[in-house]
Amino acid sequence: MNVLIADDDPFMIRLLSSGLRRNGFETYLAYDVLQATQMIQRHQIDAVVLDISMPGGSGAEVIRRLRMFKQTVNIPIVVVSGTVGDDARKKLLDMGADDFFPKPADIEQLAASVRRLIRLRADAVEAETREL
Amino acid sequence: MNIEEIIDVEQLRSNTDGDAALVSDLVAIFEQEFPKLEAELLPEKAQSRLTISRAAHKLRGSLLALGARCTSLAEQIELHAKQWDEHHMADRCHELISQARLVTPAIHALLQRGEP
Repeated sequence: MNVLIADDDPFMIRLLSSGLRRNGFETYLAYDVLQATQMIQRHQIDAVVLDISMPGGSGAEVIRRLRMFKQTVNIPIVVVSGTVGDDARKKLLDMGADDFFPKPADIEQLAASVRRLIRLRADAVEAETREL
Repeated sequence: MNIEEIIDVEQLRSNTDGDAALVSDLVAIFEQEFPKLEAELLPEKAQSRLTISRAAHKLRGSLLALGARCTSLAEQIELHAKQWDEHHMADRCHELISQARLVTPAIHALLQRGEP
């Protein structure tokens, strides 16, 4: 399972990447919005773990772009952000994120969430294919 | 100050799964990034209160992951940077910088004694 981690902080990228790899994921890394969108176009990404404040736009822009196109509309998006509070969480989920973790995320919980969301998506695609 | 006063070792262990190589890498990244954040945190050098708040925000994430006990000070600065008067702001920022400087030497000492 391929996960894109998009965060401008090399510290968080290293922490998240290590934790997700330890949990059996392949990780792709992006340090800004442009890199993140290029990675999504070039690789088979199963889920995105995203910081909400990045150079060259924001994580919100990545969410908006992913939700605009048929190929990416259902990619699970998990936001890991230092912005805490119920309002921030609700806003991000309303934007189209599937889950939210405050930094530093508990890696095991994050990995479980990403795995669950990827499976849900796969089940939905399979059900859709069966209906056709 | 002993190590436990600077670092919550349990927190660091939990965040990194006790992986010493990962901790070493995080410390190296922190040591590389910290001077930039330090400059942004100095009220006499910072461009604006927003710059200070953002630097505190970024620093908070790293400090929290490293189990640093000064994380809450970074959080206070992030949240109150716009309201505090200049003197209080300067005091708090200098205090955070002083405490944050102790973090990586403390973790190096931990690694030397075979932890976390």
